[in-house]
Amino acid sequence: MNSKRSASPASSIPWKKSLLEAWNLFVFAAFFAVLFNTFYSDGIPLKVEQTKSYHLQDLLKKNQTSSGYAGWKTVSSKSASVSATPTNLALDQMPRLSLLGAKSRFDQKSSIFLDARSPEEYAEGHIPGALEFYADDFEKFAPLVLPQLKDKNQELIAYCHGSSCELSLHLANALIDQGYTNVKVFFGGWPEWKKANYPINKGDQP
Amino acid sequence: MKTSSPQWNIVLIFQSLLRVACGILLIYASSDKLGDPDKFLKVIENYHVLPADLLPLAAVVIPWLEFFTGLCLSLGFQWRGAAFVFCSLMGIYTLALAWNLAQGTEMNCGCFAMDATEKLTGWTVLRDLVFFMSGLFVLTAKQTYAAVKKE
Repeated sequence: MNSKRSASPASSIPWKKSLLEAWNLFVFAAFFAVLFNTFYSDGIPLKVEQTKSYHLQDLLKKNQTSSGYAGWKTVSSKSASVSATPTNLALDQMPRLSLLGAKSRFDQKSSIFLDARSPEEYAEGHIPGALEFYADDFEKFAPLVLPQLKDKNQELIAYCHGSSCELSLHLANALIDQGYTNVKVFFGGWPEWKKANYPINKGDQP
Repeated sequence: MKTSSPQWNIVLIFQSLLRVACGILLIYASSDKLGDPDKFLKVIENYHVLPADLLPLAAVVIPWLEFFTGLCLSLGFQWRGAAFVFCSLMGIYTLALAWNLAQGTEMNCGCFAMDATEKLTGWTVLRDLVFFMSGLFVLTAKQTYAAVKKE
């Protein structure tokens, strides 16, 4: 047998030289990138400003001062723009769940689903166990639903009509304002759930 | 002229072609990100794997690291170190995507085009795994052809 042939491919790699080259490449690229960013017109600040947070937890801390239902009222006002809400995470910033993610949580009964659609739509069909929480009528639903959500770290999943609907996003933002730390949006929502032939409930009971 | 077995040459040719392909792939992947660090920041933010303080720096550095690594790979300049960086990048991407997939997170990969609506699926993870394996294959090459700088 040829002993050279039997040697593993990894043994032929000059590791020290490779790591040194990789390190040099990384340092050069990082240096160039920071320099480019400094002089580039669309460059971004490298230090996170205190007033601009990128993580949910930071946003929560920032908005903990809002209490009561004032935040809800602001969000629930149909005439108010979304930007008027105290917390305004866009869809691409909000933690989202896929259909499979929502289904696995449904199976594990580990999360609470919140149906942000109208009461009529909820009655026509909803995810079993989902609480009715019409996002456009906070004043009515907040006192009914919030007392059931005592654990602020409980995973809450808001959903509505799918891609054409932002009710779940508004509801999620409002919940974050209320101090809930683990809020997600199932953006595929009711249409995806129904299309997958997953269990549904009808009527006004969860 | 020194000759080696034909089969070995074919493997080396394949590894060299793969090296160039990996390089072009990275340059292509970086092209959409280089000019818009703000948008790329939002993409990597959705991965939820980096602390908030590191996000802006990563959004600025990663595209250029991809670009220069791609350049080195395609030209064959310090190609082994570049292959190591390529493997590291693909390994991290694969793990991050797999973790988000396991969590059931709905997100855009942002791998090649940041505005793409391609959803994260098992195929996305598998694709990155194939890229990682390709990089590993290049890294283990005894030598390479068509390189601007010989070892």
